[in-house]
Amino acid sequence: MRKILAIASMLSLLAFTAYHQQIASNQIKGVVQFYDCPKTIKKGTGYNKDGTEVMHADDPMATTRQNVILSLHPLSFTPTLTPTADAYITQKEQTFLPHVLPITVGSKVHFLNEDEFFHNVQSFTSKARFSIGRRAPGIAYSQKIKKTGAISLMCDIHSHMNAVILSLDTPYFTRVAPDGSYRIDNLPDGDYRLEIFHPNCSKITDKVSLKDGQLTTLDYDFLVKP
Amino acid sequence: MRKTYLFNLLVALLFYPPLMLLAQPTLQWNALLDVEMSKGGAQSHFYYNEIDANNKDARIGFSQLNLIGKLSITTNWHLNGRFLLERDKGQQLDKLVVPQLNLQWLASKRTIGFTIGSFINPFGSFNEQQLSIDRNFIGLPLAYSYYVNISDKIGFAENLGDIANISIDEERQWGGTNLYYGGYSTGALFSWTIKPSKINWKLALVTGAANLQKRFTNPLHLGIISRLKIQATYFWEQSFSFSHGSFLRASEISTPIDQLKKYRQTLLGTDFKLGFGFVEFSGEIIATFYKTPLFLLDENRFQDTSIDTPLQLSNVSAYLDTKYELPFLQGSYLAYRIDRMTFGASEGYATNSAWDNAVWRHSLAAGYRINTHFLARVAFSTQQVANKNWDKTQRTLRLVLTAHY
Repeated sequence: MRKILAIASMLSLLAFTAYHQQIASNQIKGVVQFYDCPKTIKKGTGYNKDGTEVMHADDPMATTRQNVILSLHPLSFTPTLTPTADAYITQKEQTFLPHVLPITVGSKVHFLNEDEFFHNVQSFTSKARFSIGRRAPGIAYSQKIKKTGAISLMCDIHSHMNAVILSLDTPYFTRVAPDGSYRIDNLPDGDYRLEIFHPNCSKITDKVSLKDGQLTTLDYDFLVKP
Repeated sequence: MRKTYLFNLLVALLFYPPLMLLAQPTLQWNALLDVEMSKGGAQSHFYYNEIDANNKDARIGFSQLNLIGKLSITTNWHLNGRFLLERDKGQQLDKLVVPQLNLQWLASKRTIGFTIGSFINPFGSFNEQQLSIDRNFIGLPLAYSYYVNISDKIGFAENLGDIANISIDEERQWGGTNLYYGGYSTGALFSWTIKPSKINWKLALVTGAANLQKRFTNPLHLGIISRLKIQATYFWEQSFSFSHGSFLRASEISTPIDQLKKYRQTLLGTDFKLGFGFVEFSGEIIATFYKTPLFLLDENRFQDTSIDTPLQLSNVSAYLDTKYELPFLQGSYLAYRIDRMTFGASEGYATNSAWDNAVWRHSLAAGYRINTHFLARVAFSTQQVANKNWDKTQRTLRLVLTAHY
């Protein structure tokens, strides 16, 4: 009986250790160095009527450098996905804030109009089409996102407004800080595909292997279009 | 990839050379192409229902190609251009024009702007919808498309066009629209957002009246346009517009007139937009006043008294648009427009009868945005013209596929 208990205890310990090895507290950090893209010809954001009726928010969450998302996609195991809490996009001064919202697929995104006039939110992205109609100021509307990938948003009342929901199949992602630094903790052992995303920039992908609770430092150069 | 590169190169060649020496300019561009299938009734004519009389049977083809560019020289200075290849008066796709080409200065918060060159005529709300992707219907409202009995060469003449066949400078006179359907004016524009998202005011000094189709007149006339836009509450926009300018051009028969500039057109208008959820109502009412000489068709000359004492003619045009977006089919909509134009009696001429025939027009449209780059629309219209037996012969059916990048 003692032998059986001892073996059971050993097995439990092994299983516990193995489990904790998978969710071992690996960390990844680094710096994304931004470089201005020399490209100066690009698709317009809409037709210029006279210019003064188009508002533009100075909010930093509208800038490119505040909307670079770094994500790690497990290749050697399937992560458990929980909906992203507090996934909000506001419309303020005819601008979507933030410009890029990262979420886990299946999350609800709440749209809030903070202007004093109507806005609409709609998507024509395949398998993620929706329109919330004209929404009055102060009224939030929620939309569940079931598709993985970049989902483009627009407002059909203000054609220059656009944003992206980055719907991810991984819980391991972060918004790169304005100074380019990033850090993700509590990463289980395994192989990952690392992606750095902004809708106006060239996407970066890389492969990363993490194990034994190590701290991995990876720096990248990222071309930013004006 | 290669096509995109070549297109960028083409855009660069069109817009870039004059400003290549300036530091760090950025060029934004868009393109738009319309493919249209149309069919009109037996009495169709571009001047009445926008269907060319020689192309009223079913036909399909490209109806317009746009290349739109915005060169941002600095954060405040911009050069805006639009190149348009279109069907001239609904005929063949062979008219290349540059309706918009202007230099613009915008204050840092875009509350104040100055524009010089050719720009969208600020009168009314419809002119703002310059591109077909902004329009629910395919046809234009009556005030912008229906030709009335006033020509920019001979002024007022009865039954111009369909009955009175008169040619001046080898050009048959059909009259003209109250507002030029091209939607652009040339001159200088001041725009001021007095209260962001609440009150905007525009004032333009331009080269003539709002019905002028030519960029410049001979002699050069002046006109003024003003528009005040008020966002009364989040679901209601109301605007008030004014336009005043000379419209009569010199021609082979205008020698008896010493002062062409005294023949003027004045427009007063108000427009609104109301909406909630998936429903939108919008419309415009425009009162038009002309001071015009009377042209005597039988004698092929101006009436002497009307040269010094112009006739005073007026009409009123109005339309109401209703649009419903189908919530269960995202990107789709149904729309209905009722359009009306009525004419007053002329002071000093036929005081007991209107100076042109009143018109009713009903239009139905449906649209579906296939994705961000493609919009499909179908529209049907029918109109009744007073004193004319045209009721069923000026119907139109038009289908347009718009590709936009």
